[in-house]
Amino acid sequence: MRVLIVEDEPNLGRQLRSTLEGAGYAIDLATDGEDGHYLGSTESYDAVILDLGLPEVDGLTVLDRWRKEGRKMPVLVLTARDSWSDKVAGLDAGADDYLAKPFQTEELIARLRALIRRSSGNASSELIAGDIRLDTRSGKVTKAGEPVKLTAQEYKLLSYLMHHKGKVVSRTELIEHIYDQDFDRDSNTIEVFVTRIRKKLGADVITTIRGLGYSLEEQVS
Amino acid sequence: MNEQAAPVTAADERPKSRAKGHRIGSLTRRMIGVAALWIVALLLIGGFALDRVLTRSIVDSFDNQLAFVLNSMIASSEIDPQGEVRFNRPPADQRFVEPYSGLYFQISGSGAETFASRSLWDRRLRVSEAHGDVKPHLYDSDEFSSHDQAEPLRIAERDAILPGSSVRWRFQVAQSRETIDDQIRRLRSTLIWSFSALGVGLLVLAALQTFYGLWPLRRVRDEVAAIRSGDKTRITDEFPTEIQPLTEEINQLLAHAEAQAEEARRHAGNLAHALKTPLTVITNAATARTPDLADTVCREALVMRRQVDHHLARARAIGRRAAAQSRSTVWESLEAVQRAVDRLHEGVTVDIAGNHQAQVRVERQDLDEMLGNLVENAAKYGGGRVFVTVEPGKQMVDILIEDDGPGIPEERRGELFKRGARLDTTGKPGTGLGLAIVRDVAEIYGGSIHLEESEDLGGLLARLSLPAG
Repeated sequence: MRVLIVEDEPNLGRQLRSTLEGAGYAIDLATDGEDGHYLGSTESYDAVILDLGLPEVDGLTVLDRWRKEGRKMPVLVLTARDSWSDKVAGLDAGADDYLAKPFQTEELIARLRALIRRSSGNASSELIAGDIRLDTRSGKVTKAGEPVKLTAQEYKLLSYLMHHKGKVVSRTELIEHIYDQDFDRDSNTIEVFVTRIRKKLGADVITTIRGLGYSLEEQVS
Repeated sequence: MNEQAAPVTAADERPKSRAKGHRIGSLTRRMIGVAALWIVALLLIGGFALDRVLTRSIVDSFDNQLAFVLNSMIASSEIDPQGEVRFNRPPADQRFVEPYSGLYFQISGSGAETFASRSLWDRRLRVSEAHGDVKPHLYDSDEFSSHDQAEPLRIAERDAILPGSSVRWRFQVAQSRETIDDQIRRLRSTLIWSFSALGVGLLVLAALQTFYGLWPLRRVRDEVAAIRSGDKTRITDEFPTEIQPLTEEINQLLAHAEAQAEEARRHAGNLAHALKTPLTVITNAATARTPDLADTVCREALVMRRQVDHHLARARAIGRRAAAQSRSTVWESLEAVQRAVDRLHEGVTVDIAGNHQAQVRVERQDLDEMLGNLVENAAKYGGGRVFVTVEPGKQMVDILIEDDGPGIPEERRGELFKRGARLDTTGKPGTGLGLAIVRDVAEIYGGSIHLEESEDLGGLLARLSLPAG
């Protein structure tokens, strides 16, 4: 994995380079915005660590230029300004993650890993049943356009049923796909979740097939 | 003419002050200018009216005299045996005899020799056919004026038929206008001088009145200057009722600024104090070369960072609140935070519902700060789903941030607001400052934050109430 670091403070730059090289990354180090922008535009990187306060051209401008040139590599922004407004500005300019100084190198490495993993990307898809929509990429569920409050477990259950729309799904199958192996399979939490989903989305959204399991039917709206 | 001089200067000054840009200009100059305009206007109208009335009366009395002479001339005329006109007593005025004296008469009739005063000498008055009746006519004439000498005449004339003759005689008495023109000129000059003096006097009075009226403002300026130079701390003098509220406001502003400065000093002191403890710990550990020096430095550095972050957030919020009473739309801020949290926290879904238009009286950056901290907390410690609802009320807008995490038992919720408090032991990154900052900033703006249990999601519900804008 090849990573570009754009950092003007020499000590921090050296420190980052040695830490990340130790973690198995190939590192290029640029010490000003102009240089960093050039490297980012001409070379191919798996990720960029970009300091915002840079000489020559500041970090946000560099980032903006890359995005306008169509460079898509994930960028982690480093900054001493850690207010939420700065965070939002950085992310809106096209950053993928944001880390405020001072930070611990372990955290930086963890974030960098997650960033690279995420950037491999997954396609978006939307599941629809009547007026209920479930976006598997963003995890948003809406009923008639209004967002619905679902817990993570409720979401998983609904998502599984929507993926298998029209089929009868047994309680065991649901438990296997929603919980890890250690879960107590005799518990009746599935019934509890189904009741809660019905309360939030409408009683007829999930049909109980006595003795077999549950089914989510295509509703006629 | 003085009356006209004033408006000309006033008109000259206006473009000058306008050319200097958007300056409002001097209040004194403005008030005196307005006074000058109406003084000049009223004096001009009054002067012209008076001039007309007085001139008219001078001319009338002159005309009466001429008419009297004309009538007495007709009364003393008779026809002599030759059929010519003659006077049965000579006219009393010596000026009829003196050549070119300025007072003349002439009696003319068709077919008869014209009988004229000796003063006319070789000249004759023009006999116009325009006035052919027996009523006396009075008019001005320039018939004796030549190009190098003006002799304006006032003429009274009347036609009469005398007993013993069938001829229609035209009786004319003419007198030079010199005397009345002279009188009128003297009258006008008196009017101009007296009205000019009156105008100047009124202007001076208006200026004095303006200076006197605006004097308290100068005193306010002096008082404020005295406060700035340190001679005084407050405006203490008594001022007129129009100015008093201003000075009271200034005093309150001063008190407010002092309170803020005091608060800033206190905060700087608190921060310094808060940093000294970890610094002491580090110094002691380093001096003693303790084996866990590295751990001590990391731990104490984190403590110091919390303090710096906390005081920075507070200082920013106080500074911004003092700078402007701004309004922010909750929805816009939530969407920005949602975008950021979506990017920063993989596998977390943030949903926003409720009112899109609700506004709060909070500076946008501080609203971002509060919502960012609350939503990020919910994203970090919840089960992956965060639900935000905007509920506008009459005075306050409630923003509910719910998560589907394990929640926090009621008795431990208070601990979350302590600086550096972290109830989790998962080692997720953070300084443990989030809620403390949110509460501080919310209270600075007159809002509040409460922690409850989420009915729908089962986790924690943070209810942020902020004053509606």
